[in-house]
Amino acid sequence: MTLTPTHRAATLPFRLASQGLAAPTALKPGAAISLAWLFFAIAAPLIAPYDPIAQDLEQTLRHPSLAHWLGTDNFGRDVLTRIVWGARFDLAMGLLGVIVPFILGSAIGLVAGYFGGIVDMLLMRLLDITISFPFFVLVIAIISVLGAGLVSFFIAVALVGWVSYARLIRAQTLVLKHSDFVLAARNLGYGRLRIMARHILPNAVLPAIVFSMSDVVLTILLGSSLSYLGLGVQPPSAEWGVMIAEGQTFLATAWWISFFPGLAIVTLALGFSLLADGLAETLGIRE
Amino acid sequence: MSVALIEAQDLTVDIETRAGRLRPVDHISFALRAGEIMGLVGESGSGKSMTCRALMRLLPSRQARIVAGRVLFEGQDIVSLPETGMRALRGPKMAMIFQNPSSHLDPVMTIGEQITEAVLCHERIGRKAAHERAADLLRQVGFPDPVRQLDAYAHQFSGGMRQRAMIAAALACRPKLLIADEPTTALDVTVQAQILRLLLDLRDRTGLAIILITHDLGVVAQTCESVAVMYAGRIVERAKKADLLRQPLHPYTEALMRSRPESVPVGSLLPSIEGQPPALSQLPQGCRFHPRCPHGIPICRDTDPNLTTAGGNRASACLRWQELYAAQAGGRA
Amino acid sequence: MGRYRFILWRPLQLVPVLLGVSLISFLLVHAIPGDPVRILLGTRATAAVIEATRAQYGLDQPLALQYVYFLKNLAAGEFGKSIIFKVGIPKLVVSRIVPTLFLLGYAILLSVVIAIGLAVLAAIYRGRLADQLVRVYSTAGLGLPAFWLGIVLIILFSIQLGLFPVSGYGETPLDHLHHLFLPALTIALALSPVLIRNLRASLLAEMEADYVKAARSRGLSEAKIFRRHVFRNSLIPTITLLGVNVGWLIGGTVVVEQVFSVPGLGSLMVSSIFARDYLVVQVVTLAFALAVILTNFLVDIVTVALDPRIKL
Repeated sequence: MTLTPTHRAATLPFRLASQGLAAPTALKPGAAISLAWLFFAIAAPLIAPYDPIAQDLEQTLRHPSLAHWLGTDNFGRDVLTRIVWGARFDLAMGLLGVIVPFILGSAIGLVAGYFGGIVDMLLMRLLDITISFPFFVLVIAIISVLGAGLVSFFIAVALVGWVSYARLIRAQTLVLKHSDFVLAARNLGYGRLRIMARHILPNAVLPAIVFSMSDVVLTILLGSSLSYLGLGVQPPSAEWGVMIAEGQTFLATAWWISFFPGLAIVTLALGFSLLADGLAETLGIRE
Repeated sequence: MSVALIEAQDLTVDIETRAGRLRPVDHISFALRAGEIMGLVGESGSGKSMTCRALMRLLPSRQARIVAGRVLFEGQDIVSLPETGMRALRGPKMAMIFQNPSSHLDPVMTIGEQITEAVLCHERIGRKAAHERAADLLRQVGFPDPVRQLDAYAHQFSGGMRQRAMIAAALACRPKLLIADEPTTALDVTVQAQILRLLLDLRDRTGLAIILITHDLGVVAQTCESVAVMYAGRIVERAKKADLLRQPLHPYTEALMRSRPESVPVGSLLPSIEGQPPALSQLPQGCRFHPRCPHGIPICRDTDPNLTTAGGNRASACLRWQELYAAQAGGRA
Repeated sequence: MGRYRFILWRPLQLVPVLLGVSLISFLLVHAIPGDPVRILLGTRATAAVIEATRAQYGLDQPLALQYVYFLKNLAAGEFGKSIIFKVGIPKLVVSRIVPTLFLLGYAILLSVVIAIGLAVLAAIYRGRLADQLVRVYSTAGLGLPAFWLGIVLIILFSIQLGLFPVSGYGETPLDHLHHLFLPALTIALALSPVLIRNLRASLLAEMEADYVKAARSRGLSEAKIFRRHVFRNSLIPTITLLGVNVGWLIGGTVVVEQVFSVPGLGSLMVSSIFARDYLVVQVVTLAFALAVILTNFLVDIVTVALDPRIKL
């Protein structure tokens, strides 16, 4: 019996519980890593040993040691502390940066798929044009206009990142609008908006949710890359991309300044990648 | 008695599954002469495909293995032949065609390339000669414009033409034995007849021996000389076609014949055999067919019958064949 | 052949996209608050230049008309001068395009080599250590930030081992190969996990295909079957995937050029943004878009060439 994606999601807790230890292998480590970083980010003020911004010019460029597990940078700031605090920025960029593209893209995809015709054609043209620009280039072009910073980042990501969601939701909508329950709703005289929002959307949204997990990874990478270039979070904030940029002048003498923040990015990204894989496996969705 | 081209002697295949070790091919014996067409009949899961893959040593090697018996091809036992030796036989000596011609042809290679690659692999002839042979083969199997159609792709042809292309590729190196695994099951009825006629034609012209796997006695009636009926991994009856169709000596064969549409008056219900073939992991005690057999008696549950000679080139694995059928056949089989 | 006919139609189909792309590039600059002339020319322009620019770009005209001027200037190849580099923009773009193209080609080559090598290894030794390692790389690798990867490569191969230069482009073509190896490798290592996942899955699926069984029944060796049948069939979806990722690939050169100080189009974009050299930003953005459109076209041609079933 083929269940709609929403049915599969609704029964997920029951199925996971009955599978217990046999749950898909990627889901648990993924959740564990992501939640660990979430914890670090939230508990930063409590668990970080030093202040992330205060400089200590007596302790510049120190090797990793017992006092400074990951060493210090050129301003004497403890690298470990800055990494723990930096989790806030990268997690925020990843998680929040996905929300608006998700909503915007889903809305556009739903409308395009449901109405078809000219509306679909125009929206898809817009999509074609947007994806003709390399994602990164368009984002920095928009940021160049808006000025560097976190707010510009979120706006730029929204303007460019809606595309993937629109495509996913549109594809699902095209199929679902011919399904029996939608025909039944239409026969009952339900308005189009109601059908779209309460009947089609809940069933169409699952692949988009799965994709959003991998999109979090892409957005974290995007945000840290922009900050590395100087177009995102600005120094002296302790963001991982900023730290990597600041450490680049000292690669020969104090490689740890640039190395460890990158490792943090890799592990955080790994957490969400595994989560995405596990979720896709559980829900039976292949991208 | 002429020498057998290929002879299976107590061929047995075991397979490792999650349900344990199963035996899909259980002491199968038969012999085939050059130019002879033998039908291997049975329901899905009876072991007929597995048997033929074992003959060509094309078993999925990770799980399935030949554990007993011999296969003599031109007098030589090929069960213990190293893989390089087997590869030299596949193509030049024995070949196989399959049920679904669409999935068994490489979609991104021209059909000509798929024919010539076998030739170039086994024989020392140049590309041009191989090409000519491929064109000739296409012509033999019925392609109207062989030279041009060599450069076409599988998806450009109908099911029947794809099967002909597969036959051409299988015969590229002029094998002596062709194993045809349900070659017409996936085709339209009219095309079925054409393909069967083609196989007969090829046999007449080249002396090709054919093992024809099928679940359809109608196909057997049209093409085969001898028949072996398989059930749950065993051969339950072996006979010349004419003899078998005139008077089966095993209840299973009898039931198969009764359930053919041709044998039933128009408008009446088509009789089917009650029950299902047994799962290999849950074989019944005694005779494997007895739970579904209308002639079963207590002894059938206690004794596992062997395939015994029933006179005149026939064999049956039914304990009661004499009392059930020999009487009707006038005392002789 | 009829299958290639789309090559004639495609330019026509692309016209709306090209117009749209140029419109967005045009609007970028005009979204900035302030006097467009000052924005475009910087604060030190003379009155004469200001007047000339106003005329050339129709900056006192309604927006729609300005767009027409923009297109006209594009067609004529007249973009004015870059503020910081003080050279004509076309000349600037052309001089910077070559390193980027070199880097791109190099990166694609390395990506393909790495992806094919590792995916084939994983498929042949399925379930064993080599496969496990490749799978770990293709999962963990998805989260590798290209800019950090570049820096790690610099630490290892430039500083510790001294094998490659830390930055720059070099003088001779051989120099270029040397200088651009680490940047190209960075991009390749960042892109290949995606390709490897896809290719490995394709290979494993094709290895079980029916036509492989049929080829085996004709006596072909496993190696021949793999080369002639499995590999060719598996490559097709992966090439398509590469095509899909071209936008990412081209955008990725921007960051990598910064890390390694390669004088290409990407680093030009970044420095222009910081210098508020908006004319250059505009043109380079457009150039990048054209590159993506062109590459997608090429990928479509390659896909049609590889897969005889496809009709575009």
